Parts: sequence; C-alpha cells; structure tokens
Amino acid sequence: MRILLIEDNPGDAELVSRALRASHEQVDFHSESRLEAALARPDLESFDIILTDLTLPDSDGLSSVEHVIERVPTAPVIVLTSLPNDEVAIEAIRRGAQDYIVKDHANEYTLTRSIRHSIERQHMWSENERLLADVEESKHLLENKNAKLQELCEAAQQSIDNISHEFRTPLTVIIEYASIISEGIVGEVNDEQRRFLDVIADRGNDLNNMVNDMLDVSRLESGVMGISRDAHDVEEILEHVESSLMRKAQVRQVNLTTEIEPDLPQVYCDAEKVGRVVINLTINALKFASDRGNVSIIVRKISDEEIEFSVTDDGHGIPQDKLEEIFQRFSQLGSGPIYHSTKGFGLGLNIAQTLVNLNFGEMHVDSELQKGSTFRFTLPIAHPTGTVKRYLNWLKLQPEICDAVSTVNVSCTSVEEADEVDSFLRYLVRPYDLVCRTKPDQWTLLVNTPRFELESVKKRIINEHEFLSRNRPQGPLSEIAIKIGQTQVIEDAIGSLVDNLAIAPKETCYV
Amino acid sequence: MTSATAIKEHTFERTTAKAVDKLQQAHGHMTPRILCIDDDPDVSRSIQLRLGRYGLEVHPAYFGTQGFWEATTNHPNLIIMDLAMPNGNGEFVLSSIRANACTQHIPVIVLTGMRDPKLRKQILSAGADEFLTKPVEFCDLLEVISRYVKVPEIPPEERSTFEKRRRRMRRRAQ
Repeated sequence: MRILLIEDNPGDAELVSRALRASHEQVDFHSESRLEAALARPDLESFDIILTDLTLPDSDGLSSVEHVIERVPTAPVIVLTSLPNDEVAIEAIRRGAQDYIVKDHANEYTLTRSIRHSIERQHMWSENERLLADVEESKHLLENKNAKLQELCEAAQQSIDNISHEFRTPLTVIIEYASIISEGIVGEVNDEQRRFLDVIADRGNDLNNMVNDMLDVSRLESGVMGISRDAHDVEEILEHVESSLMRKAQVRQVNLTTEIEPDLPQVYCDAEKVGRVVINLTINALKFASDRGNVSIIVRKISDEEIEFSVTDDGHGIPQDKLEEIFQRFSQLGSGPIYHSTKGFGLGLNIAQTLVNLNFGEMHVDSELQKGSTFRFTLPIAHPTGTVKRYLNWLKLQPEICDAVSTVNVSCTSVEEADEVDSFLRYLVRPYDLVCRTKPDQWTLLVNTPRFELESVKKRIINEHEFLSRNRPQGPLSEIAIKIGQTQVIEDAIGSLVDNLAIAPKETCYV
Repeated sequence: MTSATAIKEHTFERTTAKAVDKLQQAHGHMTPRILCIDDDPDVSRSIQLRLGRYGLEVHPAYFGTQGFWEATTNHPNLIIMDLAMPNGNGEFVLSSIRANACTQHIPVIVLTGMRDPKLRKQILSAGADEFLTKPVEFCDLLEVISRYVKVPEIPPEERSTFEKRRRRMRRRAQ
C-alpha cells in the first residue's frame, strides 16, 4: 500500500511512520513537509491514501485539504489534527476528506483502521459518483430523445391535419355541387338523376366521416386528443348533428326519429365528441337497418346520476358471439346482408367507445337476430360534487395512468373575461385531467400527473396563456395566478376532495 | 371610445337577439352583401349559388389580402372566410379586419376544413364570431348567417322549418 504523508513537524511525521511500520500492512511510505512539493510529485496519483496535516508552512486549514482533493480526486485523504473535537477537521470531512485522526491518538490500530475505512469509503464514493454520472447522462439522453419524439409526433399530427384538410376541400365541393344540382338550382333534374346526385353527396359525406375517424384515431393514439368537458344540454348536442343525419336517412330511405325526454338535466361532457359518437352510432344503424326500415335515437334519464343515449335499428341483428368483436378496430361483420353497402374502415364503433369512456360513460350493445340492435351509452348528469366523484372513480379504472392526482388552483383578475379563461383552461387540460370552476373567477384543476411534472404543467399553462394573449385583438387575456396544491393517491383524493371541492352551478358563473 | 371597448360592446350586442334588429334598421331593406374569402373558386361559387336564392348578394375574394382589401373598401355586412389560403392566411386576415376601425364591427364566420377544437378556440378568441367546419349542412350555414344579417327571401315552403330552427337556436343561446 502506497501512503503519502504531508507533515512539516518531523516529530509527528516520525510518529506516524512508526505507527505504520508497527502495523502488519505492507507499506510503501513517503512523506513531504510542504504542500507544494507534495502536489508537484509526479507519482501523486499512484498513492492509495494521503495523510495531511492542516497547518503547513505553505498552506493553512481547509485549503490544504481542498488543494489535495482537487489535484487527486480519486485518492482518499485523511486529515491529521492536534486538537480533539477540532471544528476545522470536521469541516474538512464535509469538504471531501474521508476521516480525521487526532495526532496524540495515532497508533498502529487507529491508523490502519482509519486508512482501511477511508479507502473503502472513497471507493464507494467514486462508485457513487460514477453511477450518478451515468444516471445523469442517460437522463439527459432520454430527455433529448423525448423532446425529439414529441417534435416528430407533433409534426406527424400536423401533417395528418393538413392532409385531411386538403382532402376535405375537394370533397366539400363535390358534395355541394351534387346537392346544388339535385335541388334544381341550376336547372331541371329528373327523379332518377336526383337520386343519383343525392347518393353522390351522401357517399361524399361518408368519406368525410372516414377522414374524421382517421383523425380521431391518430389523435387518440398519440395522446393529443383534447377533451373539453362542461355542462351541456342534450338538445344542443343533437342539434349539431341532426341535419346531416336526417339527410343521410332520407337518401337511404330509412325513417330516422329522435326522441328526447322533456326537462332533462344537463350532461357533463365534451359536446363535440359526444356528437361524433351519435354520428358514428347512427351511421352504423342506418347502414344495418332493414330496407325502408327505422332507426331511432332516444335520450332519457335512467338514474339520478346518468342520462342514456340509445340508437336502435331494425336490421338483422348481431350474433351473440360477435358482440365484443364489433368494438375492435377494423372489424367488419362479414355475415348477413347489408342493404346499404357502404363500408367504412371499421373504426367507427371503436372510436365511439373510446370517446364515451373519455366522457366518463359506458357503452353497451343489445342485439337480437332478425329483430335489430340497440347501442346505448351513458353520460353523467352535471352535478357540483357528483362530477368530481365520477371523475375520480373513473380515473381509478383507467389503465396506464399515474396513480396520483394533484390540485392546481387558478384564479383570474378580470371577472368579465372569466368565461374566456374558463374555456381556455378547458381546451388546455389533457383527457385525464378535470377542470372544476369553483367560483366565477376561480378554478381547481385536477391533474393526473406525477408531482415532479407539476411545474411543467404550470409552465404549459403560462406559455399557452401568453400565446393566446398575443393573438387577441382586444389585448391580452386577463392575468391568471397559478398555485400548485397538494398531491394524493387517487383513492385518498376520493375521500378528501369529493366533499370539499364543488363545481359552482353554471348559472352563478355566467353573470 | 378605444377600439378595445368598441369590440367588447360589439361582442356583447352580437350575443343578444337585438343585434339582428339593429342591423336591419341600419341597413334598411337593402340586399345584405356577404364577402366570401376562399382560395377555392368552387367553394365561393356554391355559396353564391345557394345564398343567391335567399336574396343575399355574395362577392368572392380569392386570397387573403384581396379579401381584406374588399372588406375595407366595400364594407360587406358579413364575411365568410377560409383559413388556409395563399397570400394572407385566414388568421392574418382576421386580425387585420379586427384591428381596422372601419371593418372591426363586421361579423366574421370562419368556414374551414380544419377540424381542430384547439384551433377553433384560437380563432374564436382572435375575434371570429363563428367557426364552422366544411362540409357544412347548408341549412346550418343559413341559420348561422341569419344571426347576423336579415335573410330577405325565404321560400314559403322553407319558412316554417327555418323559423322553428331559429327559435330553437335562439332559445339555446339565451
């Protein structure tokens, strides 16, 4: 074992040297009386351990230790001191020395014990450093890779959006011109011509729906599908999709009826997404309905918590053993006649089911052969505390999510712009988060993300707020204050949040 | 009155049913003129063909800056515009219209093939009054137009369904 002693007092140096010789170690002992000389040694790095006095002719106190450690970070350093309980020696350990020895107590036992111990500690320390550096490096690599992936993902999404836009424009013209001719706006058409033209427009609309389906699938897949849930009237949801569905039913000579139970409470959902579900289920039903048959959309309240939408056709029905299969992607039932031979990609039902789930609902299908099928889905009734509870219970069941939920409190300074801030927040959160407007100008966001990512959630809100403010003709959007709250496991959150977090009824917000 | 408050009052008025009555008074019984900014001439043509039957006059503009120029010189009663266009995209045209004192009150309906909820939010807060996605059912488009300008000639056979739809929509807006 190679040992270097830096000590200016020849008596002390002799003492250490003797103690070492008395030990049973094989020792290759060297000593220097000045720090500069010690540090200048070309074989400095070859020592297994360095013992150093704190007070040297050319250096004093902690700087002696620091100089040695800086020059040879890999060699363990033991400090020699004359005082017991020397504060400086203790500080030296904090700065990287492995041990200190009170000179008067230095005998062969304490010295060898300290040396062995220090070498071992230094070894572990170096190993730790190495591991830490490895972890840092892989973290850095992962972060870079992640950023690159995110960029690629956004670029891919952007080009899908652009392609679908390019696709939709000529489609719109085809549909429009076909219906303009069919309606006799540019001259007389006979009945057969009209029927063909209506089919052109109808098939064009089918194509458009397929584009929508593909967009939705790619958004769902890449996790960028935004869900903006709020309280909505059922009529409002159906009105947006009714005209196109009615037209489709007419072309396919199916009788489509809608029936909404009067005085329904509002449902809590993303109206546009639910509209897509109704479109997909109804298109499906129109496809499978019997010749000149019937399809009905019925909306009713089935409990104090839920509203049910059902779409029923009078077609051939689905065999029991196929009931699960139909929700799978790209599934097409081969058997049984389809009167209206339009086939899609088989994405419709799969998307419908996913979108219903993202709106805290469930989808079921009943079917009887030769009688027809009914697709039902539920949506929660908007309720101040019920919605939070429903969300948390739903979140618990979602696969592949983090098991914690955090609160982030947001408030805005301008009451007049509170509604705009509200919709800003709703478009910003991700599908597994929830926006609770607790007061007209205050919100609690429930965010399903690990605690360490909350800062980046906050940063995202601030960035988006800035972006929106820049493009606003009325000037920047109201200032918002964001405060990160507590993080809990979902199960605990159900216990503590449900009673303490109430969404303000909509009337009180829209003053 | 600063332009910001002007827009705010304008926004407020638009959301009430009174807005249409006021517009009617202002324009008397003149044919409402609609500016349609879309780089696809067939889209403008089909809108023109359809709206012409309801006594609405449609002027096309085929790129963004042309649209803005038409808006400032001809003061249409309503603008229908696309977003993705060469030579002045929709967002640029929209912000120019909203920043210019003589066009900032003109209602703008954005009609685009983009179906992105986030874009919709952006465009609405950038000052558009409506955001519709192509292809749009014509009866839906007509109903939206009627919120901003008086539709002079509704064929008798369509009148009852049209009024029913409008009443429902108006009830919803309240």
